[in-house]
Amino acid sequence: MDVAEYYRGLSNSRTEIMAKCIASSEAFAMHTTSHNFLKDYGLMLSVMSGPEKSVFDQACREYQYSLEAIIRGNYRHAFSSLRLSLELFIASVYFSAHLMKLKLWSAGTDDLHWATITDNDKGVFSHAFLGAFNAELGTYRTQYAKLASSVYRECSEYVHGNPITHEDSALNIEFDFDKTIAFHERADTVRLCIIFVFSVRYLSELDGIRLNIIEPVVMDALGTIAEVQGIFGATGK
Amino acid sequence: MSDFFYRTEDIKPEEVGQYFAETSQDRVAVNALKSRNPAIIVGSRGVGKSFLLRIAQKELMDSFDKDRIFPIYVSFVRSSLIQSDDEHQFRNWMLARLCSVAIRSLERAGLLGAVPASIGLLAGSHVDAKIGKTKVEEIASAYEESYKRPTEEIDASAVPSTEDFRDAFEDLSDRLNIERFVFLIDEAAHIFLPEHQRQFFTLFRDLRSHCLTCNAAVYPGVTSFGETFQPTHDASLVHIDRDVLDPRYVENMREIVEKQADSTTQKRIAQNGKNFAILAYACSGNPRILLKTLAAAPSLSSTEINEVMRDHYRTTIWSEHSALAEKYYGHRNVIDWGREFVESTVIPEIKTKNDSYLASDRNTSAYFWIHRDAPEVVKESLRILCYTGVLNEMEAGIRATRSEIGKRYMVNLGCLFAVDASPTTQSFEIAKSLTPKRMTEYGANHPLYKNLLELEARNHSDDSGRHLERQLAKPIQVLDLTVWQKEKLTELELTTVGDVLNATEEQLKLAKYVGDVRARRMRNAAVAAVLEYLSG
Repeated sequence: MDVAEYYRGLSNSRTEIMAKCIASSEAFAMHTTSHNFLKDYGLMLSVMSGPEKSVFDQACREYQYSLEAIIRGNYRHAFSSLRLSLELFIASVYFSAHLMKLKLWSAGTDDLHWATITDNDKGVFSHAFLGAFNAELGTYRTQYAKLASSVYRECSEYVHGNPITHEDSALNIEFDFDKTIAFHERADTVRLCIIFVFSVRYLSELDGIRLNIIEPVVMDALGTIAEVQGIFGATGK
Repeated sequence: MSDFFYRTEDIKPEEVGQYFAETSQDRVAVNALKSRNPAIIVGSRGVGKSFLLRIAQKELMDSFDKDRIFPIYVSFVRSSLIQSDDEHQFRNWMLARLCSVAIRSLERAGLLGAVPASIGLLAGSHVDAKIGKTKVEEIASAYEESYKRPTEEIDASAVPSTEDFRDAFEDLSDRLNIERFVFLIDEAAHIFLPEHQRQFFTLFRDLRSHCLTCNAAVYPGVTSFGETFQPTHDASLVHIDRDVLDPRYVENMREIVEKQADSTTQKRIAQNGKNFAILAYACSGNPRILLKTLAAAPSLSSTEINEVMRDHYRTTIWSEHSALAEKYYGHRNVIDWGREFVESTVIPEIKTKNDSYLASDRNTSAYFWIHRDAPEVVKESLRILCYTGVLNEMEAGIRATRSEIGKRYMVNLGCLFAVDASPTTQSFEIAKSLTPKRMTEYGANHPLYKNLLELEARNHSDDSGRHLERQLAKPIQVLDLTVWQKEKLTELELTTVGDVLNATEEQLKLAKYVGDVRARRMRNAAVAAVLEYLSG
């Protein structure tokens, strides 16, 4: 067997999938939108200044891997990378308040657990965390905690090969419109959760210039929340 | 009890359709916004301008695949913060905002790919170079550079012209196969800044092209159109004040409420139809006020209605009006005189007449008429009353006694009902028998104008360019903060609104016992003060 030929064949199939995805206006519009979230993440990164920035950067990279995987039809990997990016994004915010844990994790002596960073009493959605950084958004705490945990679980279903994702294990490699759409819907939810957590942690300490930079991102996602409108002075009437 | 949305900003854009109780007048407005010809929606606060813009946006987006017309909703609510001696600053700010919101909207719709500034794409710089920036993105950065540095001398030739702006959108329309871009500009021209109004309308006219349509929502008092813009020629003006004389008026207002109300509220409306109708008439076509007053009178009992009438239409609406005099100091005489004129002369006169009309079973009135040659300051004063919703501007060019020509106004029905000791007793009858034919007339030289003319002559100062500085220089006492918080600010030697606005929260936290929450509240109060004072 010509191994090189085997992988060339696989690669060709992936290229065909990508062409089909680009040809589907609906799927590709969603892909472009998900790709454009990188710009938002870039703006968020640009106003951060703590050591947790590097983790946020890693999350962005992982998110890009997920986009590359989805457009090439690596569906399971796409969801896996999306989930990891969510975990890293949330972790960066968590680490911003726990420098010691960031150091230990960076040194490889501590692991990252979803349960820890989203812990009800000590995680980024905890009453204490919001109380410390942005009490005004406290009303929305449980709602976004639930949203983050749901999207994390849904991505996990693809990662662990839960029954609903079993057809994915079929050997034939082809463009799957439904899975592509499902992925981009999750990517959108992930973005919303990240912007919420980011807003909780950083909005209260940003100066006017940085607030201006981040305004379109936050207002776009959370602009219907009165407290957020207040922060950006968007209440006109 | 239902929890109502009072403002369109609180509703997700994709969900506005669920709350739309469409009338034929609304349809005319939405169709005008969607058409190729520019439209300007005119209405006082809370009548639903933003809502209709959002509906038009949603409908255009829903049919985008077929029609390829792309809507872009932009709010200019923060325009009042742009103050500069350079006349181009505000124009550049507007253009920058239009560009950046357009780009963001296209990116969100998946039509345009973004280039993240600081994230290394997996494929590295090679791909970045290939993706490149669009012309619109390039000119957006140029405008932003220009307005963000108001103190620096800007090389005018480096700032793109409106022609460049139009070209960039033509370029984009070819590239993305988009037939036309439709801008829906909310809070477009600031009511108290005539210079902003002039610049806005000049731009509005200049931006017209085969692939660009501008639409805007403005308040009734916006009348400084500049030299080139001609209302009615350059845009269709659509007034969206709801007509209380329309036979379906109460029904339509009820439909608006029903879109948001739970079954308990709906049941109470069904059981207290007449009291609900009184609230609906009282709001004079303003859904936001209807929802607010309904929330204050949830059981719709007569006692509650009478109380709401007193609270809202005898107190709140007037204090909101008078508060403008504090915010726009230069307009103080005009604002105060308007209140005095309507509250002490117009309303009592109409009330006395209505009492006698009702006693003899004749039609009632809520209308008055002002001669077209009345002094400009008097008209200005009435314009501000329209902005606050105390008056509704009706038809211009109406003939009154001796064939004299003038403009008809309607007094907010709630204000009229509220002067009655028990509003529920005869408000409904007044509303049902209204006719615009009965109107109290005020001629070109009514003796009441004299007082205002004298005051204005004595105190004529040009306020327009300097009120931001004056606001920023105000002492912190004007802020909505506790005495203790103000003491803390004084300790930090932050004595003016501007000082607090410029301080970071970290600086505020240097005061003893001031933590995150208090620092935030203190700074928010300063931001709110400035914005409230400026945008009304």
